[in-house]
Amino acid sequence: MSLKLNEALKLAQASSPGAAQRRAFLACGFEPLHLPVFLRAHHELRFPAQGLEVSTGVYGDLPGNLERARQSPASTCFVLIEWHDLDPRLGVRSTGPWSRLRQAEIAREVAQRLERLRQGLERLSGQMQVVLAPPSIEFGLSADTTGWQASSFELELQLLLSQFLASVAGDARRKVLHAARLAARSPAASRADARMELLAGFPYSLEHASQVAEALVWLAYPDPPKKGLITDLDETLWAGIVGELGADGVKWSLGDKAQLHGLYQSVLRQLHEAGVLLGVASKNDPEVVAAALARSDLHLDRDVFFPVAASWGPKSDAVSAILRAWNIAADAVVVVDDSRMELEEIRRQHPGITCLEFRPRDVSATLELLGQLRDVFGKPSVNEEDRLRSASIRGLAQFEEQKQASDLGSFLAGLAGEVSVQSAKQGADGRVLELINKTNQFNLNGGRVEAGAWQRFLARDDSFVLGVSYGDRFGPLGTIGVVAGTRANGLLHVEHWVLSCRAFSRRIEDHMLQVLFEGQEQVSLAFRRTERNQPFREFLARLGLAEQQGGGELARALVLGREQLARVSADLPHRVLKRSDGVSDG
Amino acid sequence: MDELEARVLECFANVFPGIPRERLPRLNQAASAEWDSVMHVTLLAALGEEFGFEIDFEAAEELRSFALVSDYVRDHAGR
Repeated sequence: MSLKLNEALKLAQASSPGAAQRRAFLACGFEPLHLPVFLRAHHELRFPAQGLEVSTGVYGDLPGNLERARQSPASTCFVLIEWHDLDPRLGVRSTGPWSRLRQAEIAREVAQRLERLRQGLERLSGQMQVVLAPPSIEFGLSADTTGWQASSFELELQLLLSQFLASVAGDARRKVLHAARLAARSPAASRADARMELLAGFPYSLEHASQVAEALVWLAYPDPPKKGLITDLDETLWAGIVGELGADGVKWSLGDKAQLHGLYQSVLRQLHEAGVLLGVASKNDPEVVAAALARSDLHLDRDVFFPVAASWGPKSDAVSAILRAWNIAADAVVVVDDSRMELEEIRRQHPGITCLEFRPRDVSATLELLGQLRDVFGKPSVNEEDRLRSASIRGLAQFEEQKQASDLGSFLAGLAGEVSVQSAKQGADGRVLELINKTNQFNLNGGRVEAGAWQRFLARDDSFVLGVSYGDRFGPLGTIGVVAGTRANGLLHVEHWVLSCRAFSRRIEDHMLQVLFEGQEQVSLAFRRTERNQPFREFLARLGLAEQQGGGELARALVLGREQLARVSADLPHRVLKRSDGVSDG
Repeated sequence: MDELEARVLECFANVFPGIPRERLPRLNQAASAEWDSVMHVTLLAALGEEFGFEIDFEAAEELRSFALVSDYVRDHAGR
């Protein structure tokens, strides 16, 4: 939403300084003027409990401002580039000259400045999150052609810019604002305020400044991506009622006028490849559904759906069963169905779940829905664990089945499990931060860390980060655990400890504790009780730290000694591989 | 204070949140550390948005007090 300046000023005031403040640096070559106000205002709208402090640099020195950001305590840098930063002759505050003879010279200057910016961004992203907005104000005075005809000079500049942006976006620590999304919100014709630029050096109209600020705040501080999608089948995954038409009668092709269903299938396949869990909740006979999902011309393999809940019971029951199989909360899940009534029934039984209606006869609405799926599931990068997740959920179901049927000790001993522990201080592994920010159940304190603050934490000499991966005869789970904290005065202070719910019931946390105690007599835990960290509290109880001793209080530092370790270290079931020297590796 | 002045006051209060509201009607740039050139441009933008017209560059130079701003807005609002 676009804010008026007066609204933004009021909202920015409401964002009072305090301990919970995020710190950002706004690096641009123009006078930032109202932009910090709009950034703080849009941040206030989304995060009323957390302020945003915005520092700015020096007019006309974008490369220098990147360096100033690097020296600042900010954890995020908003970088805004305009054409005059790449050559002053590409802005209205310069009078050129723009003669044809100078065009090659300008292009060379642009290339050199982009390279300098690229190097500055490379250095900056080693320390903080970088969120970059490409030039959004077109400069049309430097070409020989009519305004309807793109000149080769202008296109060459665009090419240089595109190559630069592709290079910047190649690292998950740097996010580039999508020009098309911004254009949908802020049309090119109403972006510039040349009068204000000439008066004060600020090139944006108030509306555009608000839209850019809102986009940058979304990009820097996104909602956590959803983890799973439950889809209906009839009139959703395909056109037609499979129970009436049979497996061969349902359609999803352009020729059958059912292309929207084919597009939806393709989007689901892409989500699956990015690690999103896919389940089916359908009112049908299971055999009929199985036959249709087995069709070879489906745009995704039937195995990508797990579980497939086909029955004639309430859809909310099917959703409950799927959530149990996935072991994730409803608020991490999206349901897509063509029936508003079914969606309402699911919403009532599962508050917090996201329900999206598939409207197969409304092309615009369906394309909008597919765009929404990109927004709610999108993430900066896809890692190895994303590719493993779906298969490991199937393994989890088999694991639970066999665990119920045997003695736990001998069952775990027979798993042939391997726990791999490695230092994750280099920060290139986005999975570690992802785990900290999306794990709710086995979580020491529920603390979340934004990307920039994580970069700063990793850069500290006294910090340690251990990533833990696991695999057994049910298959690899990938990186499923993280312990991170600091070392001081011979004591380890653990600030983050998370374990994926896919890795529960294997005593991996016991192995992790043993690794923490290597060379240590005491380990301090920054415990905080949250609504959802019951599994971590159960672990504390196994260590002899009963609820009333630790968990009854909202937040408390717990100091563990070897007597706590002794309670869980006997007969540890797995082989431990250390790819680094554990905590002392740094 | 009439309705127009009240709206001008609201803009001043938005731009200068650190200055007590009762002081704003007597505010002038020479005696205010907060009222620097950047805040002056922000004030002009806030007023322009509130009253729906652009304050021209030359006039902007002269608008150095609440009273002068109110008079200018009264002369130009609704034209």
